[in-house]
Amino acid sequence: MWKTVVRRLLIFIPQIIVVSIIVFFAAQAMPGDAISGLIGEQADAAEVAHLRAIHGLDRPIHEQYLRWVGGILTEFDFGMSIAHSRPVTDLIGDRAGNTFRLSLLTLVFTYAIGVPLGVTAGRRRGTILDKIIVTYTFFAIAMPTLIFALINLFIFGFQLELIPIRGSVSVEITPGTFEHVLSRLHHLVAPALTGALLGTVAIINFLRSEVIETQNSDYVTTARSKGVPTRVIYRRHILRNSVIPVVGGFGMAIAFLLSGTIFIERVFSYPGMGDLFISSIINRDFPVANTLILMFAFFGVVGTLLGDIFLAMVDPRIRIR
Amino acid sequence: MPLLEVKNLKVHYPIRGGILGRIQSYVKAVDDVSFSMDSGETLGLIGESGSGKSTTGKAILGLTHITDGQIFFDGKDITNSVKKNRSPYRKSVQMIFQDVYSSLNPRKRVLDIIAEPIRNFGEKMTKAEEEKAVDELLAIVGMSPSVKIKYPFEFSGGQRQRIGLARAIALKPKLIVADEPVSALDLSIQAQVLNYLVEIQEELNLAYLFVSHDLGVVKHMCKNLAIMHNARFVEYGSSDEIYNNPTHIYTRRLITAIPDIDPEKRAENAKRRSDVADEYAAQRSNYYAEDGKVYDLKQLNPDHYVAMP
Amino acid sequence: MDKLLEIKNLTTSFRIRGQYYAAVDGVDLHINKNEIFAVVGESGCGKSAMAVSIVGLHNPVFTRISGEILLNGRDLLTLKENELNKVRGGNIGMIFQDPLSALNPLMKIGAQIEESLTYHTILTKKEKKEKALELLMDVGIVDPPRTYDSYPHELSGGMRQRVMIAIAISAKPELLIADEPTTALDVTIQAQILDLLKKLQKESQSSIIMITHDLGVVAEMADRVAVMYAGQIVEIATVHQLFQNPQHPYTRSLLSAMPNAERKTKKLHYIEGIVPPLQDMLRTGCRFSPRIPWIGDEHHEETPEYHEISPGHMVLCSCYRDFKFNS
Repeated sequence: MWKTVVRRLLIFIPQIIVVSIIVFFAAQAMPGDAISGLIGEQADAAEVAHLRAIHGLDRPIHEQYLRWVGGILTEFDFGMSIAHSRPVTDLIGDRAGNTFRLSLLTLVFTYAIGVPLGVTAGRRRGTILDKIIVTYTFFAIAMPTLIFALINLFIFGFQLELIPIRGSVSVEITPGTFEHVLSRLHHLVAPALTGALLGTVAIINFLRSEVIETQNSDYVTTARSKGVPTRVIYRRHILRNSVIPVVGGFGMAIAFLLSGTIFIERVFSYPGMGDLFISSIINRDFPVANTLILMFAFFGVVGTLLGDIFLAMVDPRIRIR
Repeated sequence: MPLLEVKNLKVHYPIRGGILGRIQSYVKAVDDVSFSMDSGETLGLIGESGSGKSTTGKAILGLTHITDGQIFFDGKDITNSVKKNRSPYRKSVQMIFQDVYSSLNPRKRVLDIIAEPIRNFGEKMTKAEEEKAVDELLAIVGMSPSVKIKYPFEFSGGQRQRIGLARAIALKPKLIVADEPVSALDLSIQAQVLNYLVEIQEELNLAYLFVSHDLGVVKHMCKNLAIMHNARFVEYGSSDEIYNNPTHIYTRRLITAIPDIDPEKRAENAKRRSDVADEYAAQRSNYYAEDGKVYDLKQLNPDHYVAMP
Repeated sequence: MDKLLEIKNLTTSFRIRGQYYAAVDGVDLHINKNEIFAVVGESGCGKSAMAVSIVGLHNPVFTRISGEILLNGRDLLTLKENELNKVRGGNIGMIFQDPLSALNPLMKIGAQIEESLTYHTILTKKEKKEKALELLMDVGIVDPPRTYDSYPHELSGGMRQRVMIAIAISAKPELLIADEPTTALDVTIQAQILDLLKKLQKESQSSIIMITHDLGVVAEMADRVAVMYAGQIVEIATVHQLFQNPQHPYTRSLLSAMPNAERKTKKLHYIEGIVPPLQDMLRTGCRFSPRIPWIGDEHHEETPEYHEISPGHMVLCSCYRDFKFNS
């Protein structure tokens, strides 16, 4: 198996190179650059030229690309943010923790809500409980994430004042204390729930049909013919076999999560990488935007690989190719 | 001149592995198989799962690549044109399957299913001519013209197989490759489909390559047969010869394994089975090379070939 | 001879679009101790539905069962779920057609055998493992420790069916129900599995109900046979009576449809029409009459009854007397 993993990682290198080229040149093709955004239209031409020279924007494009890649490979230097005048790595480092926490909690919510609801719906097919859960999935799928986020903000943030409406932590609390952790959680709940909403639908629908199908599988009949009590059959044969493909999908979930957080962080004014990504695009802060896209691509590929490895470990029939 | 002649057919599939995914070895699905068939003849191809019998059929139909060997049809070497869609060969060779339901498009009416090969390959026909042609084909397989407007799900397994057969003979082929055509059918329905196969064969002078694991069916259908094991022929010749004088140990294992419908012979059969099993254990090396490979065929008499050292 | 299982007026109905239709329709039969009893018929005749009814493995939401199923005199249909679970796997073991799908793909073979031991024995963990290895040995597995640690997909079809048999016999049941146990297997493997079943039955003096569509398997295995058509038993006899002196038109038609029977012409006999789907099944008179339309109504009984041909050989409906094949 590890041979295959190494091979997948080797294939992954040219993929990332291609992505970096596309990203870099696509960014160049966009109208305007960071300098014009930074100093406005009435700036002095000499001043602009000077700034462009500082950031190397006056060089031929392939040279800029090679310099950028060279910096990454030799010194892990992703360049300087033009808008913030700080190294890109520092800037992202500040935000990465926030996005990581948000993604993690979103993932936890997605599975904590999706798995029990999906299993219940499948096991109690046709009952009122099943119908309520199915109705919930219709509701969740019909509701655009953005609208749901805004409704959340409006009702719980502005009206009831139950949740904070911006930020990742209250600034007045000293870091390191227990209150600090609570405050972080408090800021995370609403965006994470919003992010989890759509993910739960996929899990519920998949699990529900998986459980229904597994109930009728031959090996469940075999288990019944052995005299295994129903509740044990559910635990040992039905649940386990139905949940594994869902859990194995969590690698894909990571890839989706990152793109999902882009909007959610924006709406909740949550200072994470997604929020940074949107502002870097608006500001034409390409060193930042390019690095983030590379990171998203990286996590996407690694997430899928992790998911495949995980599935291969829990399901003996699967060999990674 | 034989209708179909297959010479030294090999179908090997690569196994890839290692970090770079290079070809490490081959699975030999069919390994050096030769046979010939005359027009109007039925050749049975018998073997257990994984013996290579279906792959042999597929290679002749152009449904899998051919690693090595030649196929002659009507005296012409068609090895390289087997896969070409428009070649006349593809018109002359048709197929019927075990799982006929999945081979019939569920959204098409019987009329369109049967007329499809005519539309693709055949002469131009008006709507009325086409319907008449389909009616005639349906009549050959014993179905009434009224079924034309129905869909596959409205039929039983046996009827579907007959629809598949009507489609296969629409272009007046010379050879039909039948891959386990009755294995999924109940006994009484199987009998009906076999009867139609025989009837149509006489009418159209068709040749069948009859791929099956069921020795009873093959014995009933085939004048000649080949027994496949580990991608090679272990015995090849006339049905009578092979059934009356099975020579290779594998053939004998196969024949003694068939349940006899005479309960009085039970003890006798069990004894025969265990004798053959003992012999197989004791004399394996007389029938297989050291690496387990089946030997090349040697002629016993004009109607009988056996794989021997 | 002692009766092990007695089935009285068993009717099993399945719900189709809100209506119940009997797939097994008033079946009476008994299985003796120490015998192999075959139930033979084509798909849709109700043979599998009957097998599944005996241990109550059908989906209760869509199924209705009436009648009596007496195992050693105790009616299984009146048992509570936990009592029935003692019978399942304990008194009655089951073997199914497709051993790949009948084994849990994510559980090792050892665990699947031990699961059965858990509910029917009081063995310790270590004893269970020993017993499982012993069972694998009994069913002719060459390398039990290795198979014990394998997953189903790592075994060949024949080995999987041997494992299924090991599970089914793990608690030394008095009755084994084998539902088409060799249909998915190659013919040489089938012969081995049939020999194994016969040997195990002889050693344990238990009984086997063998559900099959293959008359060859019946002739090789059975002591007594029931032929089913459209939910009813149309003929019941010892295996010798049935093959030497088949009486019911359906039995005779099946036998003459076999391609390996000796005959002069290339033509095989086939039965006109099809086995009717449950909803369209004729519920009065002789249910086989539509398949032999050349036999006039006067030869059938209005309410078919069983006629005893010789001791233990019963045939349903009087049409057997004047039945001739139409050529």
